Amino acid sequence: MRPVPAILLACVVVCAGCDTGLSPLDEPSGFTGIIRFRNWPPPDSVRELRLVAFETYPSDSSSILLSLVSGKAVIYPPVGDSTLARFRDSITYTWTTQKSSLQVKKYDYLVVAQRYGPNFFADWKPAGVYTAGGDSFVPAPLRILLHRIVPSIDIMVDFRNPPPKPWR
Amino acid sequence: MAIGRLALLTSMTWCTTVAAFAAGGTIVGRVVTAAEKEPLAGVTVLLQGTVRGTSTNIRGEFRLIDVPAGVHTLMFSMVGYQRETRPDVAVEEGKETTLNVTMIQTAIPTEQIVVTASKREQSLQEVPVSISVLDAAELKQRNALTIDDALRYIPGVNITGFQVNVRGSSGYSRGAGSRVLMLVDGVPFITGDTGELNFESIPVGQVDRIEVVKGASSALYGSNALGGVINIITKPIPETPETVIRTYGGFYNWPSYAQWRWSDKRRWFNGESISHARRSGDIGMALFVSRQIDDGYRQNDYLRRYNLYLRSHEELSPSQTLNLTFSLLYQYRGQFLYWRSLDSALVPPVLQESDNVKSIRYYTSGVYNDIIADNVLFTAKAIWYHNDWGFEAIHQIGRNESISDDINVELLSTIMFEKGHTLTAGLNGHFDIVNSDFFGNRTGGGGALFAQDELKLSDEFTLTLGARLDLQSIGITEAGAQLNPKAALAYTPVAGTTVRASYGRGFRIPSVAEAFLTGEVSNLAVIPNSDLKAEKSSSYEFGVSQGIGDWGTCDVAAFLSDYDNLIEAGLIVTSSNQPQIQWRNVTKARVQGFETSLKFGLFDGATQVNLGYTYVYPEDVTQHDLLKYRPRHLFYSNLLLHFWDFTAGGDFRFVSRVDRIDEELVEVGIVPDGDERQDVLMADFRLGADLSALGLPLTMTVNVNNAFQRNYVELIGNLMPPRTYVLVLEMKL
Repeated sequence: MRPVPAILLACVVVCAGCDTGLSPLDEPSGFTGIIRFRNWPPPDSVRELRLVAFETYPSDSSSILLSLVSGKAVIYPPVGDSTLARFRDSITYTWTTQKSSLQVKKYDYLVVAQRYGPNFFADWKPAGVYTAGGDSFVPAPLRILLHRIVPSIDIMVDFRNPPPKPWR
Repeated sequence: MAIGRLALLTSMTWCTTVAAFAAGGTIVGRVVTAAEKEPLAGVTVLLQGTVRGTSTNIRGEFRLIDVPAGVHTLMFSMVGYQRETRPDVAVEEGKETTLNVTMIQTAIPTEQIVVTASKREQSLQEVPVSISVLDAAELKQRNALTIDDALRYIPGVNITGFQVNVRGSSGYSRGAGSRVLMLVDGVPFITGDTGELNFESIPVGQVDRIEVVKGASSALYGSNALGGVINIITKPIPETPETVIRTYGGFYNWPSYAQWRWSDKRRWFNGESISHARRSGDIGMALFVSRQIDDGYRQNDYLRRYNLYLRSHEELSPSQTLNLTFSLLYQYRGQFLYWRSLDSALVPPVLQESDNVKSIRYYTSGVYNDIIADNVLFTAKAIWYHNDWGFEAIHQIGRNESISDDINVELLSTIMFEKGHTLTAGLNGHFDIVNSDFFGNRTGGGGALFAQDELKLSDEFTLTLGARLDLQSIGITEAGAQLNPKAALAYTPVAGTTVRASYGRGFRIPSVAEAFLTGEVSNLAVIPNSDLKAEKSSSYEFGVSQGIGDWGTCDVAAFLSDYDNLIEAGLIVTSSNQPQIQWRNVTKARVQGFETSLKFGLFDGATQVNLGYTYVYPEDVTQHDLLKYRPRHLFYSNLLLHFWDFTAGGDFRFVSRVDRIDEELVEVGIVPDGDERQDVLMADFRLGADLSALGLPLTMTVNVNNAFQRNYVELIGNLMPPRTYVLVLEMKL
């Protein structure tokens, strides 16, 4: 009687091992999570908030612009769209490859960038960084998977205790 | 002339007042299990060579009264036990004969009694056609919420959008017409307007078993039995009062892709039912009420359903019984026709976001049985089936409604002659009234004469010959006189082996919907076709059933069916170059293939395995192409384990990708991405516990359906449910 359980087991293995069937034709890839805020400063010092994902950790300020121009750093919401919601305790966001330059690859540094002054090109600083947890500011890498929305990419932003600037 | 004689014979059997029974003796006894000596309830006890019989009560006791004096043979049978025969039972007038019997359990369910093949009780092993049976235990373990859910696991049966396809007989005809006839306790149960099967009106908890006859069966059942017959047999009313409270709840898993996620809320479904049955003297009553709520895993696919079901059984005399049934269904549901696109697979097109259907359906039926003489059983059956449904869409003013009433009456006699010769003959008549915003106001009806003779040629050979003449009209050009014969031969060389060969004809009168539907679907006009002709089929089958020791059975069958005038909906282009939808007789077709099934049990029935594979080649002979919506490969497997007070089981189902669909609907852009489809690979698992050992009259079952979250379509533009989790609690008092 061994062949029969083997047939049934084979059925289960085939079923479990095969693909999941139909899928959307342009299923996006990306990630989602919650950004929590503490200690909001006066409104004129938080003019915009955007997520920026860097393929490699920026070592100096000049490399930031280069990364953005070369596509090795991407911004959400894209420049031209309105800022992330401000002056709330938390917001939920989903950043996908649709209508954005985000790509299916690994990003070493994901940061919430705050524009604190009137100069769009110069007045930016990190307000929060995606970390592996705990109180450290050590950035955690983020891998974007094909046709998957990676969940729980949560970031804490404490305006009184921002992460260090990676550049000088 | 032959028909006249048949009518005379039939009428004689029910009109002649027969001096019921000569005063005879009584046979009483008790049936117990061989192993534990426990009483066995529900054992069928038959007086061989007659139509007389009874069944054992909860104490295993039986009583046969008015048995003619003489020497008789009694047969005892029950599913899961070896048949017992007691010859030489002597009965003396006015005296009581006592007979105690022990029955031996088998590893697999054997001795199944079926009633659909010949309109009378027969052992499944003796039937000369292919029949599959799904019993109450299998229905319960799968927690099927509707009967069509359960049918998906019968070899050779496939479901496409609530329509049943037996061995490639049916494709998909958009809810209009069915090539499989559905019966409830032998009474036809098909809506008068759309001619479709309505599974929701029959509470699954009230079903004793479902018998599926595969192949054309119009020689006994008339129109619609083109591809087969589904007979739903309801449960007998128990000897002792019984109350069953059942509740279930579950939810759908999130869609596989975020893009398909259309709601942030978990989609739930739940239901409750309560039933009570009791006997008082010669009368038994059963009451069932239920409620089902389903949020739906798709937008605008919600459901609210309420059922009331009443049944009575009265023993008018030792030889007469009367069963009456009333069922009421109220249902309100969103209508999801097809997806917006594959990228938005769980959302309907914008203009269909609020489409809904409200239905009120009720039927009342009666079955009267009278043993006129020891060898003559007369049965009268009647049903009145009322179907009222209305469709509401955002782009129309008010609700469009369709009301139909169908009345069906059948008179039937079974006469057992000496030497195993059994004649079944009867009359059938039906009348339909349709008042519809879709189909107009129509009346139709018909009558039929049928007879079937089973001749025991020898101990090994049984020949069955039969025919049915139908005269029908639904007000279309072809009123339709149909003569459908059948012939079957069963050869049983040794016990446990049956070789069978059969031929049968089938036909289907077009439904009112197919002939007269006028309206609009997705901005396309639907136009009527009063020239539709009846579909016809001829079926041939050769099969072998082989018992394998006392632990299994194997069945192999080859089949071939030829179809004429198949009706299909398709696009036609008018002289003004406008595409329109119309049902037309389009093609000749041949469907052939083979089917094999294996059923066995191990460890004294603690493990049961069912395997079934069907290969179908559905050819459009006119177009030299394959027929639409017919998968070529169907594979089913089922494993059930019993250990202590627990059960565990799993189902695996493979249905190959259908070769053809409604390509026109994709080509003209009605169903975006409508040609996206794949093989179906489904796995369901369940675990149950009986808590009665803890003093609780409770069973608990957890089901995980579509466990591997396979995304597939059965019907163009309709993604099937993702993984679902269901908890079922049932309390029996």
